[in-house]
Amino acid sequence: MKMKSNDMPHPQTKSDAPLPSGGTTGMLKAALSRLGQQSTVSMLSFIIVAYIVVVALISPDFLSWATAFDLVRSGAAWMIVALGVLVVMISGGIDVSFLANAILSAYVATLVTKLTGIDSLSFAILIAIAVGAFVGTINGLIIHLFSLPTLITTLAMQGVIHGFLMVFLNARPITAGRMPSSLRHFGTDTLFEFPSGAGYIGLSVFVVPLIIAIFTTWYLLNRTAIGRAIYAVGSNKVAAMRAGVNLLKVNLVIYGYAGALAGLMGLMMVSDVRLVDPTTLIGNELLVLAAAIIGGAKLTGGAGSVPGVLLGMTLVTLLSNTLVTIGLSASWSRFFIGFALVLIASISHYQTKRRNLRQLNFENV
Amino acid sequence: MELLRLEGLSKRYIGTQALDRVDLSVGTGEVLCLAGANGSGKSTLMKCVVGAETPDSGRIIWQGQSFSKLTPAQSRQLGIDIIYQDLSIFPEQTVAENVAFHAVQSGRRGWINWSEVDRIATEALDKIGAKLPLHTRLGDLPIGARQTTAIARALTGDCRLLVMDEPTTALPSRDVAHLLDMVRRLKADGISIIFISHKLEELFDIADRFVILRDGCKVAEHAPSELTSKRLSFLMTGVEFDSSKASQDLPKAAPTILSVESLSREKQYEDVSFSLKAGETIGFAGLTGAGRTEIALSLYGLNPPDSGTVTVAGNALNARSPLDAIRAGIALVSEDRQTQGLFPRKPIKENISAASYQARSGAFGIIPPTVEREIGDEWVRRVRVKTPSSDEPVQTLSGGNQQKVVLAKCLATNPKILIMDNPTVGIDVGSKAEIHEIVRDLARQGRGIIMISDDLEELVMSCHRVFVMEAGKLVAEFSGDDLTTSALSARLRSEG
Repeated sequence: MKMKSNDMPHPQTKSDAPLPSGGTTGMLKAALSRLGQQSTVSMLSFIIVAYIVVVALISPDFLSWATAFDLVRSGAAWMIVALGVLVVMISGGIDVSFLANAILSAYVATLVTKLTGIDSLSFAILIAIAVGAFVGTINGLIIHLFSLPTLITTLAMQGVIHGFLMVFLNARPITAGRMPSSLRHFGTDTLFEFPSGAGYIGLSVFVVPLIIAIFTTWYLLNRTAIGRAIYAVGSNKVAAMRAGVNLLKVNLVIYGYAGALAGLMGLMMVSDVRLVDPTTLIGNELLVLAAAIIGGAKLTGGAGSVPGVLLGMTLVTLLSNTLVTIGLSASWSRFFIGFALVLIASISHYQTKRRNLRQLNFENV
Repeated sequence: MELLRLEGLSKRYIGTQALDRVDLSVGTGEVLCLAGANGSGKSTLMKCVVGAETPDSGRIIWQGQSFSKLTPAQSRQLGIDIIYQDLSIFPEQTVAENVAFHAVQSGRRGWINWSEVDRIATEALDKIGAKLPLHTRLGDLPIGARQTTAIARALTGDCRLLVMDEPTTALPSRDVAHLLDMVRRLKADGISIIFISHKLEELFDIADRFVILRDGCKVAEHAPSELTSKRLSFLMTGVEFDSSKASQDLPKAAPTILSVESLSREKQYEDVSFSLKAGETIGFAGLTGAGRTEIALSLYGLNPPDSGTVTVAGNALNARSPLDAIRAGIALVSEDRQTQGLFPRKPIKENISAASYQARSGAFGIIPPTVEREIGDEWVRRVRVKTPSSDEPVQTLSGGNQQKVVLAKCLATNPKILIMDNPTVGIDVGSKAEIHEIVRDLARQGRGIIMISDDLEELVMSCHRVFVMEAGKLVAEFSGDDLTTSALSARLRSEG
């Protein structure tokens, strides 16, 4: 029996938590790998600030209250619908029916408001949310009862709604003149105004539903048992079932809630553009999904946060609305959004890979 | 005092009688070990107890209260919980949330107080004397920590009976001792345990009583003092096993087929040198993280070394990918067959031929349609996979037979050197003995075999020489009469 010396320091073993290997680079690496969700948020904040600085350098007029308020007005509805998509994605699902649902809800709400003669904004919002939640609940029910992939179910739902609007309503738009005045006001009303240059600028009332939606979604996801069940289902569905999570209830809440937000979004959109056109919106689903993924949601579920998706949507909104300011045609927006999606997905994938390799795990290599 | 009694539990699946009138009882604070080969009905029995399966007939009597079946929620309410083999954890969530998950979901209030979550988690971890970072994503922690988390979660309720289904199978050896300590601790707190494992050694370590199942029937019930591991193996399988040492008839003139010279990789292993002769089997013992798996992966091109040389049959090998290694005649049977060695949903024949397509393909890389079947059928016969046909998906096989498929896949490439990383983890004694026989045959055919194992008996039985690895270095070598399980375990224990 031979014995050899044993004076080498104990190497880092695969059961040890990753420790900083010393020095600033080591600490930086450790910090990077540990940040997880946090890193997405800080990385996005950095990109957004950098982008704003670049745009402001090229076009100094960009940094103004007018721009900020305009971005809030045009981005609010999208942020709201992205919050619904976030909830679906956290559960490991995917929804592509939300924009069809939004336009259907808005159409029904406008029509009912007109036909009943109850020209009240709260009434219209209530109807839009109810229709959206109803359609979403049907999604959830189908997904649960037939254990169908969420993409197939919501893709079918998108087709059904779109077809329904085309066939039964002849795709006939409701123009501004025929829209209830409460909706027209909703699109233009401001919380406060102040004089600026030639006219007045003001903050759109859209921030009110936006803030309510942000708070509700955050509360649902982080402060309720059902919210944590949504994360659990996305993280490990079998384990969630074994733990006694009621999957029917979870599915109905997820898709009903996402539908309700879609309904609200639809009503905001038609009030903003002052036209209820059943052919609009549909086709932009991927922008919202991209925003959620950029914001840290995973297609595999279990991860994603409200701040992340808000930043993701902010970036997408900036890229959609401000490229003209720096002299690029609006057509470039899709290019940059696609680029941002690939970049951010690659970075987070790379981080996971590094972490896995350290534990000698060759998945995703 | 009797806590749980099962009376005449039966369960039939299409084609098989999974459970046949099984009676069983568990006392308060008792550790009952359930032993049996794969497919003997252990898991089905436990699923009936925790409500994941409904028995066809029989009674479940919990503290005098009689049930014909239980639901998962009901059994948890009674105080029964289970640690599944796959642990059933939420990798994306933090440790604290995982531990407190049941408590949060069963709480009457629908909303969450996060400091309460932390308190519940700390309390449950304290019960088993474990310390874990509460706010780390569980998926980022090693397997031992995940298991501790799963156990802590079971203790957040009023747990009276904990079922552990093969808790040590995926666990590194040093975590096993810790787990067994936890089991003793729970027992001391009056919690009853039903423990399922294939590792007979640890069963004898903690069992108060053995119940042995075979083909869905209870065949015996014994106190540990009435059993030896040989007797236990016999009861589980109905077959006597030969546990003698590997033949020592290594020809003196056998050529060296692999030589490794001062191989190093930062933070993993340092200055490792050894050689392997044709027909020789060498073993590596040591703790997980000592560098054994890391070296195996380096030889296989998945974890390139920083320095040192590898020579295969006289030619220097600088494997940067598995393809380099396969071309040089090296095959690897990896530790985790589910994720690294198999395509579970694909037929057996496709799995077996998966690594040898390239060698057998014709012009333009087109694979003749019969090749898959030829390779598949040949190897199913040679390694004795128990299956009606090589068209069956691999996932329908038992663990032992799945491992034979992995082995067949590697052997179909006709390797000169076979590296096996814990080849019999989670496999019942019967299949284990068959795999050992195959390995001995391979050596007799003149192949070189490197076996990494935590099972010392397996190393002693199969290997001509065994190295002990510690902290990235080879620190001892045993061979001939020095090579005994007691010598190895003494050397390993001296590491502390």
